Amino acid sequence: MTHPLLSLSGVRVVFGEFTAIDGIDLTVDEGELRFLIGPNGAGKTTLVDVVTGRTRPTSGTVTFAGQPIHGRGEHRIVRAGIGRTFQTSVVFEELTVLENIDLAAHFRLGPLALLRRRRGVTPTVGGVLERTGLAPLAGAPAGTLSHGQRQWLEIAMLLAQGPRLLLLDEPVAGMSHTERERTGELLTEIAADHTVVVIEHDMEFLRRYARDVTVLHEGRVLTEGTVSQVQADPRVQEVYLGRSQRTATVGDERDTLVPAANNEEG
Amino acid sequence: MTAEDTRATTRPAPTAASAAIPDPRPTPLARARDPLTVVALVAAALLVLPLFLDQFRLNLFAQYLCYAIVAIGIALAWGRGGMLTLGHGVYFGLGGYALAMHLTLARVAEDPMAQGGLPDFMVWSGLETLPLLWRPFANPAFALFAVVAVPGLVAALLGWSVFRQRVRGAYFAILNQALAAAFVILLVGQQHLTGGTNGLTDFPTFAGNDLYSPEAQWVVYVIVVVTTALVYLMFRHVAGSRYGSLLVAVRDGEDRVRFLGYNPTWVKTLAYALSAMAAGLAGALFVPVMGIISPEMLGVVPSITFVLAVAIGGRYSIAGAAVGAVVMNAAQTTFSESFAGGWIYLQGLLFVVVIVFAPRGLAGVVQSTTAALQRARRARATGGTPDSTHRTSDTPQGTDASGSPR
Amino acid sequence: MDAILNQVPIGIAIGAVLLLAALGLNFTFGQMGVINMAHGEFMMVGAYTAFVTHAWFDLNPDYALLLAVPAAFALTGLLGLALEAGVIRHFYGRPLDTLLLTFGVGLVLQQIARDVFGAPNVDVPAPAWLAGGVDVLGIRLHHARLFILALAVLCVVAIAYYLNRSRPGRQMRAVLHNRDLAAITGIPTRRVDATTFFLGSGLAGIAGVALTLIGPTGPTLGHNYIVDAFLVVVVGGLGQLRGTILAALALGLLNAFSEFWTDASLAKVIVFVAIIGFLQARPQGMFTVRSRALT
Repeated sequence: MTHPLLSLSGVRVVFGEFTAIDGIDLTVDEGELRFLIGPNGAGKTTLVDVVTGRTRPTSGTVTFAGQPIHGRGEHRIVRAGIGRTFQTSVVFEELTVLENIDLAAHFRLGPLALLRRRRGVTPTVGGVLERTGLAPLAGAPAGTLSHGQRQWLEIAMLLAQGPRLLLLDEPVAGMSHTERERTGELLTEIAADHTVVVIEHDMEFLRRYARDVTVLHEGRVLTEGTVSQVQADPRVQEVYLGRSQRTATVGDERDTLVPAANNEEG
Repeated sequence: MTAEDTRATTRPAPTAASAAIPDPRPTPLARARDPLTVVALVAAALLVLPLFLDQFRLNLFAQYLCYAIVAIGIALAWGRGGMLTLGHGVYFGLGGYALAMHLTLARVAEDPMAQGGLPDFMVWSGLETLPLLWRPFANPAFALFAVVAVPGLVAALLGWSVFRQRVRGAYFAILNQALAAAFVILLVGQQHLTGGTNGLTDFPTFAGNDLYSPEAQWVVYVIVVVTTALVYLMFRHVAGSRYGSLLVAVRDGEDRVRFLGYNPTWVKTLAYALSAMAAGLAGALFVPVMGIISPEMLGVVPSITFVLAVAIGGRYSIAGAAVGAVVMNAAQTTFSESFAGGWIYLQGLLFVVVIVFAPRGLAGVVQSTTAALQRARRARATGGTPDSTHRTSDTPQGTDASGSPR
Repeated sequence: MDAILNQVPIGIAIGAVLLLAALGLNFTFGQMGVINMAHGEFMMVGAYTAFVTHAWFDLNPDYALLLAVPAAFALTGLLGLALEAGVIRHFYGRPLDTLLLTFGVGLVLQQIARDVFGAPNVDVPAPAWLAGGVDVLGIRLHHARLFILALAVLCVVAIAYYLNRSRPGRQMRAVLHNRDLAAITGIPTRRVDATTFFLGSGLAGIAGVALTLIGPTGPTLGHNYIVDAFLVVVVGGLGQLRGTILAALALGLLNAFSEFWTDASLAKVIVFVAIIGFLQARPQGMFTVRSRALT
């Protein structure tokens, strides 16, 4: 047995008075497709931020492929092989779809090589364009894309980076039903030959595409298991139901674990 | 160029998949059009302009071209990179003083009246030997090297130290301005080293040639024109490279770029240093053209005037910025000749008008007009309605123009 | 030793003027994302107000100064209000554009001053009661410098009271921290913005009056201080009263001391290098609020 690909141990993140993550241990093995769920404020995005170097852990360690990575700069963690997407897709609107993906694919080039003119579409970039179905839009400025297309572009950029571990932060938030289906297929396809961690609120999506699930609550790991194990766990129901009743007036229905019927607001 | 061509031919053939992808790169013809236009403009400047302009006007034009070189650099750093550099006078000055120091020493060396081989202002300040700082500048090769190296180095150092700490936007602009203010005060104050307020002037020779002869003035003019063209082509290339796209990406989402595996610090530092080097080169060319370099040409106000020229020409367009510099400085000359105070009112007004009505400058106006004409022509050809969703590539964006007013 | 100690009151007086100038800049930048380069020219207008009180209205210098302070506050405040309503409000959140825009406005104001009062500096006589000074522990405290300090303290206390105790002041802080949230809770953000601009510009006018006591009054007066005032904002941190006060004092003292030890021309370079060094340790100024937003 070799190392797990990613392992967090005793990670704590404190912002001033507020403890966002309160001692998390987590391992992800090579080839896994792991879903990370939890109510708002559970620390999901902070966890991804810690792994990708956006936030430094107050204490604890993060190891990737046997190397400690906590405290490294964001770009160095990407170079180590971890890529992520963002909840609110952030693409470069001024650049074309092709240019966005092309930049993502070539971060290993040195300054002098980058100063050369781009000639043609490299096989990696072409392959990613095909795989994500963005090929017909290659020449369009990313600013003209629809919300769903932007998420796919984020995923395309992530694939073009060729990372060993992919972190997707709410890839289907705000998507239409058909867009979700399409994203789900893409996710299954990617997970076949990549290690993927997905943060997701959408329970129907979770049931259809998840294998293993980790539930976070108030900055700790509440439970881990398969989808049905987790769904059957009374603590999980308590956390979600209790919380969803308390916060029902705020109207964030996506946190609800049990009913899937009201998950189509996107 | 040839190295790139061989690379292109040895590149693996595109797969069936990627062959079908529409590649928005310009066609070879469109790419060649740019250098061809530049060659035509250079030829016009060298062959046609001298027929219409006397020596004095030609000299003025050369001066405008120096400003155009500065503008090209600023367009890269500001327009593409989002770094508003309000201190380019510093780099212009560093380049200018580097060459002027050499030319001063060259004059003194040939002047039998010079005391102890020192320029007048040093003698007046009570110096008896040449300061250490000046000594290497006796060598013309060193001086020419320093013209680009010193501004590049200073900019790289400043850029790296602030970009590394993610200091950006308005803060960076203000630091630049503070640098310009400090630089001018330093130049004025260190009179024994810099000639103070008067600056350095009177450069009769360079490498043994009489700089005041009409032939030499003509050679200087040719050098200025050709350098402007070369700098333009080089910066065009940089803007069109992968690095150029990366720079725009850094401008629009610096933090996001980190998650693509790039370190924005060097991306920004390089663009800033390149633009400083262009300004240094321009400053050096300015010295033989004008015959003087002094602090009043480099302070806070001249620095911001450089930026105004770029704003007028179009910050997102490198060609636009260069044209803007020539047009604005020509207008300034014309105006100042008739009534001096009026120019300042006009200049102040230009700032307001350009920012309010034409944030993309002249280049933006030209681009929207051509785009509108094309749409109209296409609409007439197809008999359909104009394509309202058509998006011109010059939509203002970036950190400082990221949306409508809140 | 005495000579060194005597730099302290000089530094504090410079710091007090910088503070008055930087407060307005900080508010407008922090709250609206507007960099007002004409702020320096507002200081110039304030200084010329002091000049006008005695030169045009022939008031006795002994009380003309006291009159000039509120007059300058009102005049530059209104000028700021006009600038805000006329152009700047269309450019909120675009600091670099407002910077260029207001620089143009500043140029025009400078030229107007040149056309009205002439390019050379003018003489603003100080009141007789500000002549002289007192010696404390061997340090000479000029009355004029004490007056400037008192003026700054008074203004800061007034601003602090306004921000913390008054309703419009609290609204202003709310808008500063979270504009959208403030708007949702029913705070009239537009009116708050206008008030902020009025106050900030008015303070610049007071700073201008103070400047007539320690330096020459001319069309480019503000220009010489605006860069330093901006540096105070950079060092102090956005929207921070404490930070601005500390940074202004530090910069004033640093200026005075490095001028004393080296010479004026090196002082600016030393200050600049010191600030770059400071930013290596605290890139967002002395006091900051952490944000999770991705830019």
